[in-house]
Amino acid sequence: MPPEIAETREVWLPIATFLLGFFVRTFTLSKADRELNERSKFALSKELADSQNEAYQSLMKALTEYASQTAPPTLQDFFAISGPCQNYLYQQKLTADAIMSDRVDRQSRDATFVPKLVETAVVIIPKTYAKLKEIAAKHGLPFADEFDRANYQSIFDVVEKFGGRETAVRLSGK
Amino acid sequence: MATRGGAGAGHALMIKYGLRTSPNDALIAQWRIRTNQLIAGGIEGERAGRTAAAEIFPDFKTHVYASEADDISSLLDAAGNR
Repeated sequence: MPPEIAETREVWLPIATFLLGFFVRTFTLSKADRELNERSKFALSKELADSQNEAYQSLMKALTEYASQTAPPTLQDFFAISGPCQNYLYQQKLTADAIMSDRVDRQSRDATFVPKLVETAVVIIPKTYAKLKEIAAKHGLPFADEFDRANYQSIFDVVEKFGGRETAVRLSGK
Repeated sequence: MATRGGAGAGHALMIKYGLRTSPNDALIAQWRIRTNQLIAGGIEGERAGRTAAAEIFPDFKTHVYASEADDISSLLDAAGNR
């Protein structure tokens, strides 16, 4: 074998093997890897569902406590409901972020999260902002938070991508 | 709401149209075809879906499922009345 061919082989063979290995690993996850991947997606889904549920329970508790009082609310009373409202929406946003970056298993996404995120986008977000504003105005409390769609962009992205055509029509307000 | 296929569609239909159980794929497909027929006939999407559901699902509107949105909504109203 002429020396230059031997040299070429010496240089290119390891490079080619390296590249081949790289692409094989990148594009074909082994069965074990796939299972591990699914398991971690499922674990994250459960974690998200638990935090969502916690945020929901705290919100219900805060609103019930607030509504059961009769005295005019103080600023502190108001924060005691606006905080849990924001936290509930924040948890929904975290879930939407995870869905958009494909870190949630498909079954949980379709059966659990998407229907809830649709409700959040269509009903809860507009209603929460309108009511908090109304309550603040009624009692002369400061509420500077204007609704900014950009804060919840991933929620709207999930609804648009997985929520179906009907929902997109509802959201566009037709 | 009709999610895009998958197991979620049946569950979403069950909640939305108050069905007793989640409809199977065959029923979902029938509902989808009928809905599209109605839309093609000029009926608005939401109403087409509802009409098709009433025709196709025998247990249409037999159950009411409380949703988080309903709960939060009514408590926000109650808070507004304070």
